[in-house]
Amino acid sequence: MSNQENENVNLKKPRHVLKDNNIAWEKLDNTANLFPVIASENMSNVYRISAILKEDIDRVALQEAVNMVLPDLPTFQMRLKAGMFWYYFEENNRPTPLVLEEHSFPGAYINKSRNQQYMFRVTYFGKRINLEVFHALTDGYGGIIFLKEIVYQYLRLTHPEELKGEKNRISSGIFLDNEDSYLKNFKKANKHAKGYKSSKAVTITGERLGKGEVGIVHSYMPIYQLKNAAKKYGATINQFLVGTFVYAVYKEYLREEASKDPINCCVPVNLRPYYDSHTMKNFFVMVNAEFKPEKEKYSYEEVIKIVVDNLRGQINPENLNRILSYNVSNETNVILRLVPLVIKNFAIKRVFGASAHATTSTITNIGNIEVREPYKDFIDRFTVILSMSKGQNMKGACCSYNGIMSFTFSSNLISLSIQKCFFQMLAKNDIEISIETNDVYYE
Amino acid sequence: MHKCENCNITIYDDIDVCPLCHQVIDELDANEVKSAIKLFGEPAPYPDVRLRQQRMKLVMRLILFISILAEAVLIVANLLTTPDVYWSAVTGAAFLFFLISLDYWVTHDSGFAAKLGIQITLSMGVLFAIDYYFTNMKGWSLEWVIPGLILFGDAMALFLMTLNRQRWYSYTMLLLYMEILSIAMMVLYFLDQIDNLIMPVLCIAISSVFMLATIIFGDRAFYREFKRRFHV
Repeated sequence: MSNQENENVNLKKPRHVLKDNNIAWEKLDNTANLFPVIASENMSNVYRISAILKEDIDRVALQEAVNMVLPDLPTFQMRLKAGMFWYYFEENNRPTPLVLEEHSFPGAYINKSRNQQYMFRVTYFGKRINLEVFHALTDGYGGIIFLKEIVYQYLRLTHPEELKGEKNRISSGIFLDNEDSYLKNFKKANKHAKGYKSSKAVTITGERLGKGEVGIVHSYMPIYQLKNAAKKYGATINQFLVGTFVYAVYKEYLREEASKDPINCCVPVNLRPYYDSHTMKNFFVMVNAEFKPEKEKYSYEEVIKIVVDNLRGQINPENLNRILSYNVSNETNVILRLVPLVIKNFAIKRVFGASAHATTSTITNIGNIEVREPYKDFIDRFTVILSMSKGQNMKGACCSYNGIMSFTFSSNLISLSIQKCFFQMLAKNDIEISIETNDVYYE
Repeated sequence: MHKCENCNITIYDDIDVCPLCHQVIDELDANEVKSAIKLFGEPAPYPDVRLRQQRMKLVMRLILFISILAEAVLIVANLLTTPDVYWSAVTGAAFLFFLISLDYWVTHDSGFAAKLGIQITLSMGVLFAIDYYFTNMKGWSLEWVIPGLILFGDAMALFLMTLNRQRWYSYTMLLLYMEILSIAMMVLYFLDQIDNLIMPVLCIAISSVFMLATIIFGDRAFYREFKRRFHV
């Protein structure tokens, strides 16, 4: 079909959401139930994925691209509503939210009554297209799909000659599966199911940036160099990066001294490969890379080994299934389900508040981003940014594209000493690194 | 583009000092810039968004400042003119009510109907407090003003349903809330807290008529909204 023939044709797709003739709605997935409760201006639960192109962005074309893609991805065409017992998503048939030039710090709170009531926003600045998503909608897997499709359509509109054969609809091969994979793969209450840690961990504190400000440090490094370095320590790239971060915290924040509290770094694990799921909703659990410095002067190698062993012992199907079982067990409890939302909110906030200090930081890797061949020449790189949350004043997020790993620190602290140690340790392992910041650290 | 020899990293930012170790750094030469861009891509700087945030804060602070100043003037006027009657406390409460409401409407992200419901409830509380503390519980709040607010809520629900016909069912919860408040007014009458029967009857009649019309004319859309709102 030519471009002219398929103009303005949206996909004919099955509805996976609960459809009531004229309005679709769906329950939040197991993880998503938490996010609306704890979300605030200070803890937005919004993540940002950006694509940096090789040319300046045209706002009109970007708006048109978003207009074209959104109707084909029902996961994003939702607004958040509060029910008597639970939050839920309701189909949002308002116009597509306006694409604006970047005007706030990355991961800023998404007000559910503004932005045409959509729970995502698309902004741009210079060569960068930003997609910011409220985590209740989907995790990085879903976010990347949406951003890539926006970029494809944007490039198709701005380069009609070079991308002549490309279609004005979302790519074939995308799964529009909206199932709650937590509930689907939850077998039964497991007596070995274990919860998340609630004992106190090291909290990175210090002089803060201004209220609402977030400092960003992007770094870029070649994958093959990272792979070689990780191999030296018998680690995967992810384990190596987490281990290096934990060492940086130990060296710069704990000053290589013993501590009664461990450094506890949360690492989200995508469950889709373990359960053969293709859901667009959230489907991940958290594991903890824990390092408790019981003596002084651990070497870099020792810390990496402890973290690698720790993660290896947790990222296996049995343990992931145990965590999944624990997560779902509360949701399937009939008595808890009948508790009014107001009380649930209060209880969840208290429980979250109590467990927030059990985590030092979060490091996430959304994996390798692959784009379709005709579009590769137009895209420089991708970056991911996590927003701040209670008890975690610094987080890391990474992704790779075209042989380059992009690792981004987000922090609300003025000091960059942990980042400095992190990058210096990587550089000592013969990794070439380039960094850029969002200028918040300068006058 | 710069190179920090101490950290052994390339820095894309336009800065003369390494942001990590604070060493004074040199610019890369043209060839080095070229090879860095070839490997990692062009810099992608961020806009300065601090100015916009500061402006927003300034507006809110200006409103707060003017309110405090106005209340201070009123307190002085109160003390100079009628020192036996503390009417400036009422204006103070009104300013406080205005500031809390403004902050709630600007910063909170509930829907319009939910905000309206909470605003009506808050207004009822403030008016009841003024009646109780400043007019020795003459009862005008319970007899007339609070029922009046319930009727206002009914009227707003009807107005919003007409205005947003496509999503009329979004306001049924507000209507239901007004119905519950109307019943509460009637209960207060039977508990001898209110002497005037007209207003509670008017509230319950109008709320019930609106609710009945919504159920009958709304047909399945009404039940669907209830199903969504009350799903377990």
